[in-house]
Amino acid sequence: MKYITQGERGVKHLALLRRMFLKRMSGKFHIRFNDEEHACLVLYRGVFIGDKQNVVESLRRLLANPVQQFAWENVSDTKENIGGWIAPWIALSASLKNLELDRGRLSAYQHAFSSLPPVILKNLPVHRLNFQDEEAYLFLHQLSLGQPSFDLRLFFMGHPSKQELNEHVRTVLFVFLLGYLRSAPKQEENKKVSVVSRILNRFKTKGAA
Amino acid sequence: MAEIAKILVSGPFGSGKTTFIKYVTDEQFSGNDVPTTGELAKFKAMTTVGMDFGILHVDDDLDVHLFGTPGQARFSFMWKIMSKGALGTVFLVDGASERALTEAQTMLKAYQDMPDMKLVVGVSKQDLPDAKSLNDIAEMLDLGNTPMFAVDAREEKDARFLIMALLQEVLAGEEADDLELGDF
Repeated sequence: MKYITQGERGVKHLALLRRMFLKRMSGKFHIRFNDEEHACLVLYRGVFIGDKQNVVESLRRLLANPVQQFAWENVSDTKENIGGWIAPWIALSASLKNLELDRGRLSAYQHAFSSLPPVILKNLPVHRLNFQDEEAYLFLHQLSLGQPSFDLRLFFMGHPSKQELNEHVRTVLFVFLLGYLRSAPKQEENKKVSVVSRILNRFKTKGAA
Repeated sequence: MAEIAKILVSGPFGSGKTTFIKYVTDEQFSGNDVPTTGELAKFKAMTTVGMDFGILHVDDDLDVHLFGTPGQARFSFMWKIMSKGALGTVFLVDGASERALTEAQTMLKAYQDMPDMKLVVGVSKQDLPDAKSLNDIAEMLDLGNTPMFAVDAREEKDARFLIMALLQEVLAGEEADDLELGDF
């Protein structure tokens, strides 16, 4: 297991966390906040396992503090350690609830998300996911309407107060980590998608053998 | 030279891999069929040793190679080797055979543990009175979110459906990968 080290403003651990959910990975996510503090999240096929309070607490720390190092440990038998199953959206909405991010984190997240290529927002039944910042989400949703893709910088513009910025960042963290933000379709599809689409077409139009 | 994509067809001994490949390819090159020996002989007279292989010509520039992995446990070392570069695996299992389901547990786990391996499971013989329910099989095989379908191994349309389901899984996986923060 190899730790990845990143700077104070690094957010690559978020990309890995998102990947764990979407790729339904099983294993342990090790996080080091500094030389002394660390945390570990256990997942089985993209779902947290363990005590809900502990999972939520660890996630809150992960989101509210700079992560110095992180590592993924592939473990296929994490199911053996089951204390309980916590779906990602449950854990995330609970850990983001009233989470106050300091200026350093807000700035790091705003910078990171503003640098993303144009995105599309998938419809999110936010009221059913117990997510607190409905108003900020609706603003994001409004931005996504009527255009094929949009720049997240727009979402952070308008000099919102620290409180508003907090809500905006929490909203983007939620939709990003759960996979509701996607990149806009590129002009050229990636090669694998093109190959798979052609095979699918072959089956749909002509039949196989 | 045409580009080549690769798909695996796996499952325990006697799960219908040879027939499956025959249905979804244009050319089939079966492994050696030899008389089954030992305990397994009571289930099937002939079995494939080595592997099945078939080619589907998609267009002038693309062929799909389908490989049927050997179902016998003694060939388990080949599963990982054969999976290299594959788009995914169609896993077949006889839903009315206790023996096949038990073997499938170990086999399927090997595929589930392969990083980024896309899987769909086709369960045959669901029409037999002693067949286990899909729910029971999903639990027994610890399927989680892996898609599973009841199929008739004798039906060509079911074979094609399974391949298409697998390809949809691959596309869904690609979509999930498309937005990374890795560039920061």
